[in-house]
Amino acid sequence: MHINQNKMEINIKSLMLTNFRLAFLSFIILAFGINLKAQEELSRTYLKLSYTNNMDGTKSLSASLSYKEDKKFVQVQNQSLSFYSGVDLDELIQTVEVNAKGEATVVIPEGHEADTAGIYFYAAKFKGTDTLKRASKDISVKDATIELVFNQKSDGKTISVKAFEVDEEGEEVPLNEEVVNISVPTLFGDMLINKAPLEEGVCEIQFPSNLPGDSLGDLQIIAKIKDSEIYGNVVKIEKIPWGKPKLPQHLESTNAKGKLWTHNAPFWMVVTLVILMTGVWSHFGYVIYKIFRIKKIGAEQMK
Amino acid sequence: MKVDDRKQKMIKMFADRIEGTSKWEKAWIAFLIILIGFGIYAFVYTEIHGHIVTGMRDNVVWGVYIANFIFFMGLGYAGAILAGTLRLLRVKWRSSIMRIIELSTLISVLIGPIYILLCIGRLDRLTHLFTHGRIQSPITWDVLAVLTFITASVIFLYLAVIRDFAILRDSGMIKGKWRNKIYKILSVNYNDEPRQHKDINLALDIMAAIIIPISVLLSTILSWIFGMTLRPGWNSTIFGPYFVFASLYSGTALVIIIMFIYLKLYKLDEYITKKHFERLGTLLLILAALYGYFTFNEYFTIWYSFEKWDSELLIKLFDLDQYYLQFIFANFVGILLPILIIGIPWLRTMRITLAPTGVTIIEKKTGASTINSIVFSAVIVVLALWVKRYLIVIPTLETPLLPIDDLRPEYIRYSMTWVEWALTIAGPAMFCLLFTLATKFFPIIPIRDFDEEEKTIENVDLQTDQLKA
Repeated sequence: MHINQNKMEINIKSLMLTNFRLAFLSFIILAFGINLKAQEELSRTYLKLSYTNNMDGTKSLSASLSYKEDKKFVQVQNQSLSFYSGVDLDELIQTVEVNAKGEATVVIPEGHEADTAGIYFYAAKFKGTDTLKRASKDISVKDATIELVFNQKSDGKTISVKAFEVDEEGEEVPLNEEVVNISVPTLFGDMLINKAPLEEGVCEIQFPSNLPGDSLGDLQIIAKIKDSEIYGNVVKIEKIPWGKPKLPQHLESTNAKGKLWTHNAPFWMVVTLVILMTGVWSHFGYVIYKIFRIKKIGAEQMK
Repeated sequence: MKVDDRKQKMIKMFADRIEGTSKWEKAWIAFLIILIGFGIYAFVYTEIHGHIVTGMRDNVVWGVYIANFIFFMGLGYAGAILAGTLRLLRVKWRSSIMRIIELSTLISVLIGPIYILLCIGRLDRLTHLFTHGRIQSPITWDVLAVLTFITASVIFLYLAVIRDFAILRDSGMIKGKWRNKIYKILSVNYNDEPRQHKDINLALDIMAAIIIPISVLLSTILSWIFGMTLRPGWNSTIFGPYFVFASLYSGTALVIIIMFIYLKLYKLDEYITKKHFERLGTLLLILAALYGYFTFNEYFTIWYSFEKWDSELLIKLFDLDQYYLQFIFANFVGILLPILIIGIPWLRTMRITLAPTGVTIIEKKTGASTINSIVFSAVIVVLALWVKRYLIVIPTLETPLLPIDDLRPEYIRYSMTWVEWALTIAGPAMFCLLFTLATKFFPIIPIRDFDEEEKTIENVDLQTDQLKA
C-alpha cells in the first residue's frame, strides 16, 4: 500500500514535470513564434546609392530609400540616412533626412582620399525602424574627366567629346564602352538631344540648330556619362550661344503687337474697355451732379 | 419737408431702435466684435508667419478665401439685380424690402474683396495690380469691375436713403445732436421740392438701369477668372450665365432670410408680409430650376465626354472619402429641396410638431408655416451655394495637369486651418455687424417709399370705387 502510494506520488511528480516541460516548451515555441512573426512583419528596405562627379569641383552622393507594399515600391519618408567614405567605410560624411520622395543627397567635402589605385569607396546606411529592416549599400568609383569641343561648320553643329581617367603615373587613360548623353535643361528636367558611345575616349555628337536659348541665345549643354559601374555619373556642363534668342526681343517684334500675351493689349480690347468704363463712370458722374443739383435747389428754396 | 402722421408713426416705430441699444443688442454686437477680432488676430498671425499657417500650398493656391470672395460678391450682384429690376419695373410691393436688398448688396461687396486681400501673399505689392495690371487679364477686369461696382452700390444706396434722411431731419423725433447733424448733411437740403423729386427719381432710375448690366457683367467676369483657365471643372462656356444665376439664387435666399430676421426682431408684420415671402419664394423656385438646369448641363457634359482631367475631377467629387457629401448637398439638396418645399403647396404649408408622446405629427397649417418653409429653403440655398463655391475652387486645384511634385499629404489635399476658419467666420460676422449698425442709423423700411406705395394703393382703390359708383 505504501509502495503503491510512493509509485503514485512519483507518477504524479513525473506527470507534473512532464506537464511543466510541455508548458515551458509551449511557451518557448509561442514566444519564438511571436518573435518570428514580429520579424516577418519587418519589410525589406531597398536602398539605392549613386555617385556624381560634377566636373566643376563638386562631387555628390545620392541615395533613395523605399520598401514594397502590395508589390509596389513606396518611398520611405522622414528617416535618417548616413553616408560614409574611406576604404573601411567608417568615415562619416553626413547624416541627412530623406525627403518626401525618399531621396537624400550630400555633397562630398574635400579631403576624402582615394586609395592607391585611385578608387573611392562610399556607402549609405539606414538603421532601420520598427517596421523596416536596416539596409546599407556601398559603391566604389573612379574619377573621370569629360572635355567638350564645340564645332560649328556649314553643314551643322557637332560636339566633340573626350573622356579619360588619370592613372597612378598621371597619364590619361581613354574611356571605352561608356555612352555619353548630350542634353539641355528644360523646365521639367533635362531633354536628351543625342548620345554616342566612346571609342578610344572620344566621340562626336550632332547638335540641332533650332533650339530656343535664353534672351541672348545661350544654351546650357550637359554632357553626361550615366550610371557607369566604374565612374558613376560624370557630368560636364558648358554654356554656348547655339540657341535661338527668345523673349523679350521676340515679344517686342513688329509681328507680335496687340496679342493676348504681349505688353500692348489688342486694340479692340482697349477700345471695349474704354467705352465700357467711360459709359459707366460718366453715368456715375451725372448722378453725382444730380445730387449736387438737389442740394443747390434746396439751398435756394431755404433762402 | 412735411412729415405727415403715417411717416411719424413709422419713425416712432423705429426711433427706439435707432436711438437706444438694448442689452441684447449690446451683447449681439459684442459677440460679433469678438468673432471679427478673432479674425483680425488670425490675419495678423498670417502676416507674421506667412501663408504656411493656412491650408494653401503649391497646388491649392486659392483656398477657401476665394470661395468666400465669390460667395459674397455673388450676394452683392444678386442684390443689385433684384433692386434694379424691382425699381425699373415699378413693382408695387417692393418698398418694404428695398432697403434690405440695397444694404445687403453694399455690405456684401465691401466684405467680398477683403478675402482677395487675404489671399495675396505680398500685401505690399497690392499696388502692382494697378501699376502692372495687364488689360488682357481677367484679374485686371475683376479689379476694375469690383471698384466700379462698389461705387455704384454706394451711390445707389445713398440715393435711396436721401429722402429718409430728410424726413428724419425734419421730424425732430430722433434725439442726438450729432445724429441730426449727420442727417442734415446727408439729406443735401432735400425738401421734396418738385425739381428735387424729379432729379432724385431720375438719378435712381439711371442707377437702377445701369446697375443691372454692371452686375451681370461683373458676375460673368468673376466666372471668367475660372472659365478662361484651362483647368478641369473651370474651362466652360456656360460659366458666365451659371455664375449669374448662382448669384441670383443665393442673393434672393439671403434677402428672404434677412426679411425674416427683421420681421421677427422689429415685429414688422405690417410692412413685411406673407405676400413678400411668397413672391420671393416663387422667384427662388424659378431660380432653383434655372440653376439646376445649368448645374446638370455643366456636370453631364463633362461626365459624358469623360476627358482625362475632367474624369479625375469627377472621381474626386463622387468619392465618399473626398467631396461626395458636399457635392450631393450643393448640387442635389441645395436645388431639389427648395424646389420641393416651395413648389409643392402641401410641403410648403405643412407644419411638423412633436407630440408629448414623442411621435412626429404633421399638421396642415398656412401663414407662418409657409413663411417658415420658405425661410428654411433659403437657409439651405445659402449654405449649399457656399459649399458649391468651395467645390468650384478646391477640387480643381487639387487636380493639376502636371504631376504633384511634393507628396506630403497637405500638398495633395487641401484642408482649412483654424486661421481660415476664423477669417471665414469673421466675414458673416462683419456682415451682421454692419447690417446691425446701419439699421441703427436709418430705418430698415424706407419711410418715403412705403408712404408713396401706400398712397398709390389708396389712389387705385379710390379710382376703382369711383368707377364702380
